[in-house]
Amino acid sequence: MAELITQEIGSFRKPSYLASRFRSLKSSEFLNLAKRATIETIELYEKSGLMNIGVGGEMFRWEMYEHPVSRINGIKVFGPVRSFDNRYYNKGSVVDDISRASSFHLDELEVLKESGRKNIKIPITGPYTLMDWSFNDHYNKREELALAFGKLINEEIRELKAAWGNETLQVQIDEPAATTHPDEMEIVRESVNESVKGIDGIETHIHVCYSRDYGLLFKIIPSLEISVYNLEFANRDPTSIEGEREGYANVQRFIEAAESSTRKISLGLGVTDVHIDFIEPPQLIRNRIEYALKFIDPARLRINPDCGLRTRSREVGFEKLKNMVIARNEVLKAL
Amino acid sequence: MKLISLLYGIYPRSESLRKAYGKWEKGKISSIEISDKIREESAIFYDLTKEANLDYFTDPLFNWYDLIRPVALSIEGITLGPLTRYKETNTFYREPIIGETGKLNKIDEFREIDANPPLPMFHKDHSKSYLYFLPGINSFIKMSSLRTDALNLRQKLKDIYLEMVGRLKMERLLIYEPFESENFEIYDDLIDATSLFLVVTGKSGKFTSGRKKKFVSIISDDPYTFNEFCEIPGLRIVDAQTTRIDGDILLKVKDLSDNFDRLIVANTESFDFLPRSIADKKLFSFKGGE
Repeated sequence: MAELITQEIGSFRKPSYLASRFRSLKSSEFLNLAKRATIETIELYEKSGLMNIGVGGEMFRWEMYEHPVSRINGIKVFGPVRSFDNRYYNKGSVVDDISRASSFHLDELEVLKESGRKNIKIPITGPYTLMDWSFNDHYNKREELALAFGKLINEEIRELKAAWGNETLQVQIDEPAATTHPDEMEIVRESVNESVKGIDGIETHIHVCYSRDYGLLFKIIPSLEISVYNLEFANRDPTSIEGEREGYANVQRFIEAAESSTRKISLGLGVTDVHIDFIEPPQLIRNRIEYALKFIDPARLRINPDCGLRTRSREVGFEKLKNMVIARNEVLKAL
Repeated sequence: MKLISLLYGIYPRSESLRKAYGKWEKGKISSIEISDKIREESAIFYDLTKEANLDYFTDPLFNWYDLIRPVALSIEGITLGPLTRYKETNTFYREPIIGETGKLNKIDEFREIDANPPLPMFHKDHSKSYLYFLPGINSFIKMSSLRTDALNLRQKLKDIYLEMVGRLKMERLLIYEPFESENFEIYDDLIDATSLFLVVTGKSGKFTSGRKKKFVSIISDDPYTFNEFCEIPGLRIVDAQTTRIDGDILLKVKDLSDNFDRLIVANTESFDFLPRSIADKKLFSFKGGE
């Protein structure tokens, strides 16, 4: 098995020809431009040396929450709410029983299939996050809504898997909200497991970022149906090359939790910060990887940015990925 | 029982202001232009509060990129750290990194600062309903990464807040503690300096009595606990976490009427957690059913 697989997490900055007209394009024109942007982004990834290309930067999606929610019946959007600074997302209000109106990601998958690439990973916004980021004006309990989202995601993954064929499909459940309510980890566990329940032929990933306490997630690892944990670390690590890698203190805790599971579990290590333009030099990234390797076998370590790179320009995003690949290659050589 | 309505915290920006910020961030409009726009939007907001007959409202804080940033960036010795999740929400703030704090910079005139739209910190309305707003000192410290002694810092922040009150001649100030806090003696001098409203979160116990003056109001989830420390008890009741419009606030507070002559009804959190269209409707619901 390949060691230290490099992968991206999901989003990448859209080219201006798509971003500037994203909401106003007619469907056929949108499809053409989103396809073009996907292929261009994949080519950029390939130029950087990235091994797993995800879905080519989520060019079909404006935003990770709005995209699925706009394809679900029973949700009304009254307008955007702030995420940070001047960044907003359209927060939906659940006003009725929810059901899928159409597939969330089939169009994206078809483009990847047509391109002949196999090294893909499909990010899907997770049920707990969808629940937590929505106004619940209909279901009696938060767990009911999370489970209802879990069922919809299960349907979606089944449809994607059927379209993909026999080969293993990597699916990444994005759960940035997973640890935001410490007393709701049972809801996270149940709803995520519901999302992948009974589906064969998939490799399950989860992506969590900017958690105030990853320990909450680590506690439920043994009972989660997840094989790869793609987590953010670089954002909390100093950018100086020297010194202890204090942002990576959770790696050891992760390994301890993973070893208590009967499942073979891997870690996706966030090595570049997606919220700053600073291009981490290969030596810094290398130090971060080597720090993690003190605790984890290289076959169980994947290398990725902290989160989607959509917040950076395409040029900065490319440079960050390129250095990530260089660092990975140097580490591998030295192993 | 007389209901008194009060809206505090960051108010959601209009689409027009969001777009203007987008242009400003890309350098397509100048800091002076965005500053004019903020002033314009603040005036529109004040008109709306009057139409809704709100008794008190804080500055809408349209140029605050988060609940603490303009304050953090106005004090020497504080820099911005990583993006950090605000409580259990999908909203993030930049964590202040606090070293040895120095002087308070200018806050009351146009000034460009890093990582935030330009100051002034407030765009005042001249009515008696207007409240200045500051984040609670206890929460400010909890939300920061400290490279200095917390006890000492608390005293320094108190002095800086007093200086702000003096410089801006704040007649009425609302302080919001979004995190559960214990140390409220820190506000004793501020109570003497201005008419002080305090919003507390959770149990926030350990109040001590014996002050000469009281808070004008302590707004909490439990007005009974804080009643003896303020002139008018306050209740956080207008829900900022649902898009449903509450039409029966009066019914919900009816049980309190045996114990209180007056009650401030306030929002549970900044309306910034709501879409603007819903927030504008909720403004009219503070005394729903009256």
